[in-house]
Parts: sequence; structure tokens; C-alpha cells
Amino acid sequence: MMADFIAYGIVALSACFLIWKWLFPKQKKSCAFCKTDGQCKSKNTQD
Amino acid sequence: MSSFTTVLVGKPNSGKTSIFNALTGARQKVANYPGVTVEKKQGHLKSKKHGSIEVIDLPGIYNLTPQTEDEQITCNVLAHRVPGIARPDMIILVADATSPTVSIRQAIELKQFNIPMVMVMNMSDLSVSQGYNYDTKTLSTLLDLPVIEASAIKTLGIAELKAHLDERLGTHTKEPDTAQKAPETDYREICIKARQILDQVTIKRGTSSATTRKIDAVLLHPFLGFVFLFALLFVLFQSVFSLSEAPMGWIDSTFIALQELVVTHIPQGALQSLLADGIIAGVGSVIIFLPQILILFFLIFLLEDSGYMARAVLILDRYMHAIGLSGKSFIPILSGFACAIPAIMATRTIRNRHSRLFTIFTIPLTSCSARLPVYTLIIAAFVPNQEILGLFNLQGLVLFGLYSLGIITALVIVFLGKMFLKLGQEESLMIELPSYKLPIFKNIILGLYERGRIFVVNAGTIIFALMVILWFLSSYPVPAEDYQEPPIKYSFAGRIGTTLEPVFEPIGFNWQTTIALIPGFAAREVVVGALATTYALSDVDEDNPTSLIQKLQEHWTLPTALSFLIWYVFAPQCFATLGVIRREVGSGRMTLAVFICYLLLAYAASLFTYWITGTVLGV
Repeated sequence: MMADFIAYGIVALSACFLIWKWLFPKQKKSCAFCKTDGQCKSKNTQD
Repeated sequence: MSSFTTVLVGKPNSGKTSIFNALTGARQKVANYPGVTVEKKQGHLKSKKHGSIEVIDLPGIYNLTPQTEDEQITCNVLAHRVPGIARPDMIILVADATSPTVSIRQAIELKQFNIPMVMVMNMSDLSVSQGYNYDTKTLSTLLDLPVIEASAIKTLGIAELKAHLDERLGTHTKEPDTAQKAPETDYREICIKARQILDQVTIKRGTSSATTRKIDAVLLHPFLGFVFLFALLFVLFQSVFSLSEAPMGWIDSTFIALQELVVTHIPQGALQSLLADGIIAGVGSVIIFLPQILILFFLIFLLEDSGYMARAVLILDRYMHAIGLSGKSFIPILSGFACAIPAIMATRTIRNRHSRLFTIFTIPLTSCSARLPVYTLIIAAFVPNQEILGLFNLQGLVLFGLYSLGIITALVIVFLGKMFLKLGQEESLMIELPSYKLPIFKNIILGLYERGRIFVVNAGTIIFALMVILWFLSSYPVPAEDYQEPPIKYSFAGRIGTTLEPVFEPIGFNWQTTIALIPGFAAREVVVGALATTYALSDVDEDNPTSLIQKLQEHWTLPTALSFLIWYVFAPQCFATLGVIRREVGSGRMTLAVFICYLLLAYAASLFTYWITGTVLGV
């Protein structure tokens, strides 16, 4: 019973994590350098 | 909040990012070829006197007349045309000490911005070893600015540069009247003056150019150079298989042992199934490919750091001109081996908008590192590990073929676009060939650490969570005890898989494979974990866990395996890439069109592969 509870807890936490990642992706601001709204990342390049 | 802002400016491949890393302690990617930085990078230098100083690393420029988007970024910052970004308090002009002509010209041009400037003669150690000798004191006097000799890799001169920033920042009054427009310059006069200064400060010219010429006579030879490049890439893909065999075996046996441990010690039920079939089978089957990714990138970093990569682009440029392309499109396509996202951003160096769009659209065809686990899994399961002509490994040959297929298709699409859509002639490739040098071990280790970290973090977060959800969808609802099929077929995922099965059946995918394809859209490598989970839950012999390779050999035929490989060469299975395409081209419709076109291309190519191999093999 306890083991099942842990398993469902992991499932619930994983679902919350994925929803959170989906709803709040890394913020993409408009680029202050090339002045194109949202067309490039305003912070460091992605590697 | 930083009180002062300094910017790193210089020609491409002069080592600005190495100086940036040395000043700020950052770990930005550096490589021995031009165009690595296409966007500004920010960091902070801790100063005893001024607290935190903002350091901005800007894309390389040759002059102050920007022609590409990355050069425009640099010029906008210098001319203070960027809202929210303070006018720089200091310019750090990074010069390549082995070839300072362009930097001297830039120093003259940049002085017209009336911003305090210091010139850093980077790679001084290399310059000395190659026999160059410059009178930096005279150079400083003639240019009327401080000159510091440095080597960012060996952190020589960095302390002096930091002390100089401490001392000079805050001593100059900003002049806003020069900030709004780029200075007018007589470029010809500046070039003449720069040449005169160089002649005055040169004590001795180096001899490395002669050595470089000798090596280049072979490596840049129109025919021999191409043969060498082809052979090199071939060896690279062979090595990915041969060198990774042992470490992959260790990781595989560790995860199988973990599964056995869970099955033995945790009572049968939801938790045991989640851990063994969901998490360990799913995440473990992805982690197992870490050695291959590290080996591939170790070899790529060796080529980059040695200075060969720029030459590879030049060799290919000759051949690509035959189909109306330039090597300029090929640099981003090559970057796509790592990840499509920075590769798409690297297209900013292309001036012609239509050429840039077409290059962006073809980048998803370059096999990124996320596809490597999928390729190697299927190859290991279905392609015999045997030698051909006593030289080549068949598995490596197939891997090489898959990478080549993506690139060749990309080139064919651009060629057709040029022909039918009249995109115009692409500009000629202008690339400064860096000197050959021994790869810097520290750079390679840092690069590998970054690639490994991204892979492991992805496996430990997104893939972990997706595997847990997939396990849940594949395990519930639980069927009645008299249900004859594997329980997964009764589950939510099983029902989705069986509903979609008719769509994918013509290309040889069964319902388990169809289930695995869906989470694979989040990230390509997820499909490996998803296959492991779906087949683990379909397995009736739960007490004897077997590897995913064995399971695939049991359930798939060779035509299915080949069809699956071809699907992964073409299918646009990465939402992050589509998101970046949307941002860079600024059109949702175009992105959707690209997605649909590649989906149809993947389906058609897989269908053809499945049909032809099935017919030939009589399966």
C-alpha cells in the first residue's frame, strides 16, 4: 500500500513538473541587440 | 547592478571568447574557426575597486560597416543604438598576435567612437613560438592606446588586463553626442595607415606561414583535400562505435543489475514496475549512449581546435559552388551535428535573406546528437558487427551513411530551391584560415563537460518525468485477469498506439513503436527510453530483464528497423527546434509548412525503405 502510494506520488510530481515546464518555459524576451521581438535570445547563446 | 560596462571587440577567431571566459570565469564555447559567437554574451568581472563590471563578448567583425546580422549586433552596441544597454565605458580590442593587421585597422576605426580602449594582443605565446616579434611599446605610442600582451588560454596577461580595467574605468567622461551614429570613415586611408603602423612595429616576421602553406598544399588540394576530409569523417564515425563498445557495456550491465535488484527487493506492484520498467529501463536506455556522444564530440572538438574545421568548410565550398551554394551555408549545417538550435542561430552570418531561410529550413535534416542514440541502438540491434574488406566496420559504415543522407538531402533541397524559386546567387565565402595549433586540452574537457552535462540533465529531468508518465499511461487501466493480450495493450497508451497503428503500419511500425513515437516529439532521444518502457511492460518474462537491443531483435524485422532509421533522419521530431525556427523566421505558417513537409518526407522515405527492403529480403 505504502509502495503504491510512493509510485503514484512520483507520477503526480512528474506530471506537475512537465506541466510547469510547459506553462513556464525559459523566458524569451525580445532581443535588445538586434531589436527583433522574440526572434533571438536576449541572454547567452545556446550551445 | 554593474556600474561599468566593457565590451570585447575584434575580428572573428581572435580569441575574444577565451578572454571573456578568462575574465568572467564563464565556460562559453570557444573554437579555432570564425563565427562561433553570433550573439552577445554577458558576464561579470569582480573588481575590488568597482564591484561588479559587466563584460560583453560581441560577435567578431572585420570592419564597422555591418553586412550580416551578427556584425550588426556589434555595431549597434558600439554606436549605443540599443535601448536598455549602456554605452560601453571601455572597449577591449582583442587582436590576434599572429596576424594583427586587421586589429590595427580596427583600433583606428574604433577610436572614432571616443570610448576608452585597450588592445589585447592575444595568443602572444603562439606568436613568439612562430617567430613573430612586434614592438608593442611603439604600437601603443602610434595608436595612442595601451597594448597588453596576453594568452587567454594560459591566462597570461589577464591579471594585467584586470588591473588596467580597475585603474582606467571611471576616469573618462562619457560624450553622448557621438553615441547615436556610427562614425564616418575614409576606409582606404585607414587601411594605408594600418599597414604603415604594422611595418613600423614589426621587428621580425614569423615563419609559421611557410609551414602552414606546406600542410595546406595537401589538405586544401582540390582533390587530395577532399579525399582526406572524406577519410577523416569516415574514421570519426567508425571510432564512435569501436571506442564506445566497452563503456556502453558497463553502463548496460549496471542498469540491468539495478533492475534485478529492484525486482528482487521490492515487492511486486506499482512501485516495482515503475522503478524497473519505467525509470530504470527508460532513463537507463538513454544514459547508455553517453560514451558515444562524448567520443563523437571529443573528435569534433579536436578538429575544431586544431584549425582544420575552417579548412574543411573551404574544401566543401569549392564543390558546393557547383550546385550554386557557398560554404557559408555549410557552417551552420555542420554546427547542426551538435544541436539544431545554435545551428539555426548561426545562419545570421548569411546576408541574403532567402538563402538564410532556406538554410534554416534544411538544418533539421542534419543529424543532431539526440539522434545518435536512436541510430546506434537500431544499428547495434540489426547491423552485424563485422568488418568489410578487413578495413571498415559495417556498423560504422551505416552510421556514416545516415549522417551523409541527412546532409545530402539538405543540399539537394537547397539546390532545388535555388533552381525553382530563383533565390539568387549566394555570396562568396570569405573565411580567414586560422593557424594550425595543438588542441587545448582544457577547452576540450570543458566542451565535453558541457555536452555531457546537457545530456545527463536532460535524461534526469525531462526524460525521467516523461518516462514516469509513459509508464502510468502504459500500466493503467489494469485489465481483467482473463485478458489474453499483454496488459499494456489495454492501457491508455496501448489504446492510443492501436488507434494510430493503421497510419504507421504501412511503414512497418507496430503499436508499441507508435506509442514510443509520441513522447519522442519532446526530444528525439526520448524514443529510446519510451521503446524500453513499452517493451519492458509488454514482456511476459518479468523475472529475467533483457536489454532493449534483445527485445527489439525479438519484435522487429530488418525492414522495420531500416524504416525506423530513415524516419529518424527526416522526421521533424523536436519541438524546441521548431520553436527556434518560428522565432528566427518570424512566421508560424512557414514553420508549420516545414513541419508538414518533413513529416511527409519522413513517411514517404520510410514507406519506400520498408517496401524495397521487404521485397528484396522477402520478409
